[in-house]
Amino acid sequence: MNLNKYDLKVSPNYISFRFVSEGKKGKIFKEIVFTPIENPNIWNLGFGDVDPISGTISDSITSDNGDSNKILATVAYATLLFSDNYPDALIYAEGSTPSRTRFYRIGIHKYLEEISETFTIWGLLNDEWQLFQKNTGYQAFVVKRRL
Amino acid sequence: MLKEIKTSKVEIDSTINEKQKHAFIETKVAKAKKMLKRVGLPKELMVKIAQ
Repeated sequence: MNLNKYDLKVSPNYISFRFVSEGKKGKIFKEIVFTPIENPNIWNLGFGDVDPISGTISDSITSDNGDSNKILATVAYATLLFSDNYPDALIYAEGSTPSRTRFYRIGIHKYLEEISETFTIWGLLNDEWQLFQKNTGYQAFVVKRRL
Repeated sequence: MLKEIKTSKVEIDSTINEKQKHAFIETKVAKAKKMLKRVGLPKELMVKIAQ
């Protein structure tokens, strides 16, 4: 697996990651934020575009910058770096819209074998968790680093 | 292996303030809490947590 990904800037505690997507629509600032939800050690993965003026993040925008594979690889790498520092964390991810959730699902689907070497992934289907299977329209995901 | 993804530069940036409470994050966390309260966690994880 030899995917290009973007250079990352990371907060000292490896919770927030920033990068710049460069594509057909120019430069778009992106942020990935892991936020603790509650015990036991559950974190939400948030990912969206950063407004360069206000600094606020939005995941309701579809950037369509022509670099989705590179973005997916960057998000995967940030998750790996986060879990290096928080190996017991359970990471919950859900898109803000069905299309954003589909974006996550496609990324996991595409690299499932490689991702599964490092992480266990569950998908939420009809309000029931199951180990991630390809071609299934999950509502949300939980990811746990294999120890 | 994920670790074999082509290397990119990772730089620590202390100006990134992860405590900054974006409305975005608050919304996401509230949504996640609501969902997890309703559906719980995968059974395998519940077993591990209970042990």
